[in-house]
Amino acid sequence: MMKVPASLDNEQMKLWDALTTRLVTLDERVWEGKASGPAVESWLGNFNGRTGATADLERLHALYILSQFMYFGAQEIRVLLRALYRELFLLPLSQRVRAETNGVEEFCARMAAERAATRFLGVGNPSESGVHLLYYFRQENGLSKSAFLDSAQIYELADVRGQRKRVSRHPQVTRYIFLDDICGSGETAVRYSDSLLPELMAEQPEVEVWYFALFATSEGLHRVANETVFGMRCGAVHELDETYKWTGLNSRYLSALPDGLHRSLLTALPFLYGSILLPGHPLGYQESELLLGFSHNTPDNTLPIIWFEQEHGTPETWYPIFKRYPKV
Amino acid sequence: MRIATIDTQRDNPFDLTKASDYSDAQVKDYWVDVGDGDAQKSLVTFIKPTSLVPMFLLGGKGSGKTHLMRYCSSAVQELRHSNLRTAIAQERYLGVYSIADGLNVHRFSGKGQTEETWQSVFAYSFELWLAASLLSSLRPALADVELTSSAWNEALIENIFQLFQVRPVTLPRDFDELVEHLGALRSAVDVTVNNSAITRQLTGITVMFNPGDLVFGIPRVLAQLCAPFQKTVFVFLIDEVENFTEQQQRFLNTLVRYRKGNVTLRIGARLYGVKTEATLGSGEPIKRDAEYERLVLDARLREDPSQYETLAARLVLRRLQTAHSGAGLSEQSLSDSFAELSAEHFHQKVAVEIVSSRDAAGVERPHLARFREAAASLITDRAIVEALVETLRFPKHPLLEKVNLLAFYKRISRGVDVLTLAQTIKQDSVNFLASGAAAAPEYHALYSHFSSDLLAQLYRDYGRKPVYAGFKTLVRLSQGVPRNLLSLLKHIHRRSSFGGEEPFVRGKISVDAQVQGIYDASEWFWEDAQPDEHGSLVRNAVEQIATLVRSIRYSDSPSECDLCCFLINPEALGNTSKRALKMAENWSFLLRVKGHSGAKNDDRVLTKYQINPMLAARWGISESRRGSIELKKDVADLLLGGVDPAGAQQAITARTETMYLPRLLEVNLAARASPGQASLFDGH
Repeated sequence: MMKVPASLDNEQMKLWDALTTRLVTLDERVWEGKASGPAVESWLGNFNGRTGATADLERLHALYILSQFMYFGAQEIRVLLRALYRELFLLPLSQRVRAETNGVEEFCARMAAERAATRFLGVGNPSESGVHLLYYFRQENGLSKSAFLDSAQIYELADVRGQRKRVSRHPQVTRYIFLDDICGSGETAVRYSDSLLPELMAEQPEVEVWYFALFATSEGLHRVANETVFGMRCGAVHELDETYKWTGLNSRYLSALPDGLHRSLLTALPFLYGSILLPGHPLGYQESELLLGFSHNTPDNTLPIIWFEQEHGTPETWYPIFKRYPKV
Repeated sequence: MRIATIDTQRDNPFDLTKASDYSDAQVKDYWVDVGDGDAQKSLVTFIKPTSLVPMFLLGGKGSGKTHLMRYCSSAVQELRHSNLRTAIAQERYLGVYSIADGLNVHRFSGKGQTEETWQSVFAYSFELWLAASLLSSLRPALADVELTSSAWNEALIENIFQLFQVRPVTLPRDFDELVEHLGALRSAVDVTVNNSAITRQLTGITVMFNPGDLVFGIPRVLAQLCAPFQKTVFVFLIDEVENFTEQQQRFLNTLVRYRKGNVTLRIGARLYGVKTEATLGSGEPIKRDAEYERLVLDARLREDPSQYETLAARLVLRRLQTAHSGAGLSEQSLSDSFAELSAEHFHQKVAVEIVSSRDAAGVERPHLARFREAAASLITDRAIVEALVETLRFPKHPLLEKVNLLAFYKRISRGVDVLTLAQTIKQDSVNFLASGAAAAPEYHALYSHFSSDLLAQLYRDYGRKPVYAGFKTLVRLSQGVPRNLLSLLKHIHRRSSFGGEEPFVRGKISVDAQVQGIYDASEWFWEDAQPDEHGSLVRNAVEQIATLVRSIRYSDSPSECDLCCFLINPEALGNTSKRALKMAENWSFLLRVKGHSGAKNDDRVLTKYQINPMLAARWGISESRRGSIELKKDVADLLLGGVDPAGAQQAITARTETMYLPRLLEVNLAARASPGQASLFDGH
């Protein structure tokens, strides 16, 4: 059992109890049993007083951080994938087509044509989470296998005026939609935009390329809109504004704290231990400072104290509470 | 290979399921009894199915009314004996179970019709429903020789339609058509009733028989025509009657009053479910014991604690068995699955564990610090104060240290020199520890009365939750309500599983898991009850009473030990207080303790109430029924009435002020000059 540390004061002990109660419910109802008491205890054991506060006080604060963790299980991800298809793709397309057509028959025919000219692709290689989502995306939205492509299938090699060149393999496809689970810094979209899409866009300027994520930070989306070929053709089911940044000025997590917690320790704790674990990104990749995870993985945009472990390359022994499966 | 354990994280054997959601097979499978095969001791005897006297079966939510009634239903009778005819022959009754909720009784009101009209339409529809239920329930017990005999069918139809004043143009030809016919009559009424909101009319409904003629007449006909049912008691088991309106209950009461022949009724309802005892017509009330019996199921189970404990153990084992868990556990060994606090050396280990961390950090124990501060404010000689603290201090035994202080507070008014008193107490504690009760009887009396309160204080002072643990404690907390027990175990199981334990599979369930689970269950119990429009009044009333009880328990010198009861004269209360008290009892926040108690100092008869032990953890009060306090009218009205929260708080403060330092010392030191009457624990 997660015993209440006796060194805390009475108010803090009460808070420890309340947080534990919250974790029991979260683990049972949301976290799919991935953070049971022993796992939480091991994770709390990582915090051993290096901030200058007592280990028990650090652990109380760590418990609070954990209690704020947003987890999206397999069921929730499926629901989000349905929402992505309908809200970001189907409904805007229907509205546009409706405005351009007369009558049901014409509308239906146009929609069928538009869908036939659309391909969905995962961001990353087939072993990565963006691609992993495609299987569920197809199931949840009742789509045909032919509506999907691997990014390697966009092009084929052809002789063009005596030169071997990459050309579009599917000239009839006029819309490519790239799907990702999370857009943190926007870096992935930028990389794709720079490396994969220029030839396609040069060859077929009329082609639409879209980038949709289940979750995206406002900063990440801004970068995608401004620094990629996707331009304004990007979106997310759930946009994470600056209030989702753990230490941000307007952090939703730190705005109204229960008695017994110190804001300064709540910001110092992930930073200090994060600096030991991942010196370049102590608060998550590109300082995203997020606090969320999925059933299939924990993004590196999340605070490293949550997901870091030795195999990510550090001499520090660290027990993660929600594992991250790294891209090796 | 299937591993014979359960997924403790996901699969909780104690997840709550209401008996109304069970299949008939589950009603049979989950049934546990205390009779060990002796029908005379079975729980079924509670509702006396073969007695012709009607009975109201009442009880708190989850007390098992529905399970008991459904266990007596024909469908489960048939499962018990594989054959309903055999079941009826052996058990001598046929249970016709109906649930009032299924009638959608709210339909029978308003829509431009008078109350009298609805009364009549409801009675007609309800009786058709009961009649059809009766025939459907009996159907599996009929033999082919009856069902295929034209003569038997004709006689049945003829006899039953003689009960009608309006005969249909075409009579049904056999038993099954008769059931269909009754169903069709009721459907026709339903259509008219359901559309009356639009049509504002009830035309087309013709009441074809006198009230009660089918309910009492059909069983008589069946007994005449079927030899095996000649001595059968036909029991209408009507459940969840709290859903009936007052007018609808009048019809039911009328059936109770005019019960006839081989028919009887068992009427199930929540404690508050009976809205009237009046009958139709004159409204004369039905008479308890003369015309009907009343059984409060949970109160009945509470009357015999050992029987309830057996039932509780079997209930738990059955749940575990169904979940493929608890292998090797028996009624006797079940309690071994629960860790308990060590009471060894007067809880020394437990008490030391509580204080050790702060002791090591050099923090003075809170009870000593409070004592020092209070004494210093009243005794000018600082050396005496320090000598008192040092004399009463008992570093290796924090609980006895608290007993020392309590003994000091209780005896200080006697006029003995304070230092001498402290030294005597110190010597008592040493003798008590070394040689037991006989060596220090007065000290022992104080310890045995107040040790659980003092331990709870110690936990609280150190930011911990007072401990409730052990299977017997769970049984006591559930107070005769099986669903309470299941809820406690459900929450304990989830806490234990979360903590990495394997409850009922390996090892004991830790005290921590039990404590947390009991607190969770207590919150569930508080939130689960929804006392309708009087909710805030009732919750506030119970909260105030509990606050008083808690204030006494956690005071420096509690007047009563293990307090969770109060005595009150309900008749003297104002109307709002009376309503709050009644509602709190109806919703099982308060339990009426059987029998009445006289007031301590005169011959007034008072009623004793106990705060439901399911709520004890919510306020950290005792679950044991030992001490009680009397609430006089003025205080009771303030606490229960809910109109003057500040007044209620003042009343609580006034009542407990002298139990707290420094007033406690102040008053008792003053009393040394004029010694008053010795209190219960004022020693010899």
